[in-house]
Amino acid sequence: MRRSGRLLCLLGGSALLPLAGGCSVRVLEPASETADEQAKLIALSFAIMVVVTATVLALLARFVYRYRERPGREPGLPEQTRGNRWLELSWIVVPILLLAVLAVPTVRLTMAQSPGAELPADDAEAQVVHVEVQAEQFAWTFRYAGGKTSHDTLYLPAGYTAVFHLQSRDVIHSFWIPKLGGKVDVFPDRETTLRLVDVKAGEYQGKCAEFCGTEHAWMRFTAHVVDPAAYEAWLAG
Amino acid sequence: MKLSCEALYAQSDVILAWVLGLPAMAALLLYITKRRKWPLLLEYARTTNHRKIGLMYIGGGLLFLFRGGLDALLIRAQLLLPEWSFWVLQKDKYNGLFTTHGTIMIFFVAMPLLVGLMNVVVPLQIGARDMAFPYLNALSLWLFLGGAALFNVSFLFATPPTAGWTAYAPLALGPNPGQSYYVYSLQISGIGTLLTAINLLTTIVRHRAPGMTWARLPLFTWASLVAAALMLFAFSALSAGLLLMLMDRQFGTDFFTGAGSPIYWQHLFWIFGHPEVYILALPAFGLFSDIIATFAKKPVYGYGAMVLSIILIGFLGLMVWVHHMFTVGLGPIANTFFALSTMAIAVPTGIKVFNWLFTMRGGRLQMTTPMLFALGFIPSFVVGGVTGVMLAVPVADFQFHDSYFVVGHFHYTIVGSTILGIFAGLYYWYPKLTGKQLNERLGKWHFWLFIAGFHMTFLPMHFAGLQGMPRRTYTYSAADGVFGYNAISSAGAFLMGASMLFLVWNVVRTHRHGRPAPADPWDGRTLEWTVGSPPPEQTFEPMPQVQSAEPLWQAKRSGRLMAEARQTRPAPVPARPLTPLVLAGALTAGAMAMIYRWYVPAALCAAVVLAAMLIRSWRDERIDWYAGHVRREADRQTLYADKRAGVWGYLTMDAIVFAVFFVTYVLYTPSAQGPQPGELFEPGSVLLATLLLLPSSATLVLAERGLRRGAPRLMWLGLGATLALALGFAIAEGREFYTYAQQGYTPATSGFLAAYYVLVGLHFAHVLFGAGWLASLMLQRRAGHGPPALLEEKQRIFGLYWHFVDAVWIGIVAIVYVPSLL
Repeated sequence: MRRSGRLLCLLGGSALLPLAGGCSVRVLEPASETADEQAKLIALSFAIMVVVTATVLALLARFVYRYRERPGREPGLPEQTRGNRWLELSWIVVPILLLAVLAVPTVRLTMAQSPGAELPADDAEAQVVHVEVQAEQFAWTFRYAGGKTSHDTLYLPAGYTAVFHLQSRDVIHSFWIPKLGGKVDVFPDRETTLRLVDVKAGEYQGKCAEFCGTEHAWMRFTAHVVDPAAYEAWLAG
Repeated sequence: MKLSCEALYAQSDVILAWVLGLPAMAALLLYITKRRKWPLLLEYARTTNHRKIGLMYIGGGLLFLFRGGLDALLIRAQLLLPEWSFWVLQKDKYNGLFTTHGTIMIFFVAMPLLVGLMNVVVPLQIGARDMAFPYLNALSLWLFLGGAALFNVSFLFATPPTAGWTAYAPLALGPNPGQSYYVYSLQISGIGTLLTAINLLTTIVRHRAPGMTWARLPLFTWASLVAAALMLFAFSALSAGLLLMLMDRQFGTDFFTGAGSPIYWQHLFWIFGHPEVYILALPAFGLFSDIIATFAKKPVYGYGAMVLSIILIGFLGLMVWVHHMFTVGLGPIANTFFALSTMAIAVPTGIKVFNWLFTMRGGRLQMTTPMLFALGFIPSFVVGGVTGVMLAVPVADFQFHDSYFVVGHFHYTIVGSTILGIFAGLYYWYPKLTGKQLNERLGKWHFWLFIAGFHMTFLPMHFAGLQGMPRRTYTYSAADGVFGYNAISSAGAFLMGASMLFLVWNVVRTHRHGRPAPADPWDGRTLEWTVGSPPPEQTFEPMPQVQSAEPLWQAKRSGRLMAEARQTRPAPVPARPLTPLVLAGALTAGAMAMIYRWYVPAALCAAVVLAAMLIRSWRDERIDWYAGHVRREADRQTLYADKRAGVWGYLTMDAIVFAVFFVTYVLYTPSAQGPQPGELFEPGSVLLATLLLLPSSATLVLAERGLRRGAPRLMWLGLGATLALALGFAIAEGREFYTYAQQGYTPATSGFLAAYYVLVGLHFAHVLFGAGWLASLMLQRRAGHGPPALLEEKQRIFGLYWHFVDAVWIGIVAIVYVPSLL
């Protein structure tokens, strides 16, 4: 018992360590409205799932502690129960309710954010910047309105909505700036689009997320979100 | 080529494998010879006994577990520190490592270990005397071993596949021959899996002991049944997809390149890949149900709900594949639908978790090694399950997808359920596998070290993913801020590796010093504990009459012996063939020849495969068996009905493959370039082919009627006409292909022609095979080879196949030819 207790401590320790650092991971520190919505949904789903996991763990711990075979216990056979309609119904109904709570915002945001979704009407008024993105093994090329291009560095004006039009020259890649929002795959045979709403000023890591060959690990870029005046200056320069 | 020190060092991993492998092989051969183990090996090479085959599956699976595990340790060594170079394992060496790790662990570890356990246990749990088709079972095993061996060879030639276990095109269509190894080895072992699925389905449906109703079936068997049904669907789809990829790689078609559709491969792969997850998980669920009931000393809680949830999970598992493709851009509607269907799976899974918990409530929990694995499984799998629900939210998945969050998630589900389940099953059923019981103390060491290492390895990965670490990257920078997570992961992986040494030591020790186990060492509840440890080749003499879901438990509690059945069905027919080994070996060798485009050796291997089939047909084990053992007409009818059930399974598989190719044809027709169907097809030749093929079904019916009425002339007339018509069709269709080829239209010409040749060509191959089969049957009949009852059976089985081939032709005419003529 003592030995297993120590191992349990070890287990708990290894679980808590990353949790302590977990408050400062990029995906949960969003720097755009899009990423913020995603982070909030992740938080909601995580909260519901913590409830589920905690319930299971509590029941498991209690049952194992209480019913484990040990010297002091009377030897007879346990009662051969086979089920209970109400209990069984409860763990059908409660999970369905929990999932329903998660499903409502899931459907709303999926319809809004999925690539190919219709753009909201107010987009016309919002400040939008379009960037053509070309991916190839193992580099990124960005082409801006007016024809200026940049390689492996992306410039965006802060406070704008960025719309990316992505296409690959060879295999499938995936365009991902963790702090600015989720990714979209980049294909050789068709264009995909990604919208990131209201990007905040800062310098962010961008990566290829879809495995694309030898140097996939280093197919990266840096996204500079700068204030609009600086952006205009860069574009003209 | 110049051999420099750098070049040698760059390949030092491969060189080391040869340097260590060759002496090890020599030592093994020496050991076998010195200990006089050759007769034993030959015995196993020719066995059709379900336990021995299961044991070989498990042995093979464990062997590859160490290969895949070694890959994992090398991966973790390379990822230990930021921008660190461990040995030569960067870039494509690293890409090879994770590709082989994933492929081997799924196809050559998890699958064979589960199939091995099913092979041993399912017949024993239901009172079957063997698997329904013992010969086929041996063939499945050798196909698995052939495919696995082929896959491993690619590394020894320094060209492992490097495109990930998902082999996404166009990346997987590059020049690396390793990707061809991937395609061929999965195709070969996949055929083995399909045959196993048919065997399991027939065994469970038709070979249950008297009184073993569906409501009394042990949950491991229930789970195996549903998993086998999923295997039949999923591996058929994979097989079709692999064939298309093979066409792209070897015959210049463009199904999945940029000119075709890279997404189409993703659909086909995940239509296989997601059911595959449940093929792996369901058997683990089933065996944990049995184990928890045994060691809680209580029947499983909510048996009915457990069965229904297995079926529901299997069913839902078929329609969630797009959740692997949320970032592909299939549109909001598709994403929403597949998000909801994925979330729905959480409900039946939750039912199972709570029923396991409440099985334990009020019980008397015995903390044996299998039970420890079950207790470790519940929280581990729940973590994998809840992160699965988080991943089902598409918008969240945009962040999670292809990051280490996903890597953490699927290891929690697959290691947490399947691998823990396999270990639990190994400890639990070891007496049935080998006749001895594994040491409990070593088993507990194995468990605790493994479970600690497991959580240490995979929990931090979720955070690395949220920190922005993409999967399949051979290194990371210090600025990425993922060093801590990776260091813990690496330490945990080596802890898991160390725990495996306890298993090895346990197996060796038990083999050397273990004492024979009794039939029922765990105070079990189900039929497998009524037969000896290990079970004799002739089990269930006498056959039990099952009267409850836990017949052994009831008998023990009531103090009465189990009831004996008065009527029993005939046992499956055993054999001692070498042909399965030869056939699988030739197929593997032929595949290797195809990879390097050595067409003459490949053709020779194909000839050996066909010869093995012919020999099998002529030296059928049933020839003697029907004359000697099966005397009653009713018994013969039962064996025939088994066979027919198996053939329906085969036809289902074939129909799925054809369905995929029909869909492919519709998707790729018409093409932007090349000829259009209307310009190409000649109504005359289509009409001629149809007029030749369709009547052949009628003439075959005529032959069957002649057979039934005892009118040999009518039968011969029917058979002869069928063969003549089949050959006529083959000539007409062959001429059509020849004409197109003359005009320069090959599969490489356009997407439409590629899809046309694959679909109609596969049908053409079916006709040729059928003609050869029919000719062989006619010769057997002419020679009076075997008892008439068997010949009649064979003819009827051929009839099912032939009518199916005709039905497919009707489909081809309707979908391929008619629209082009309108």
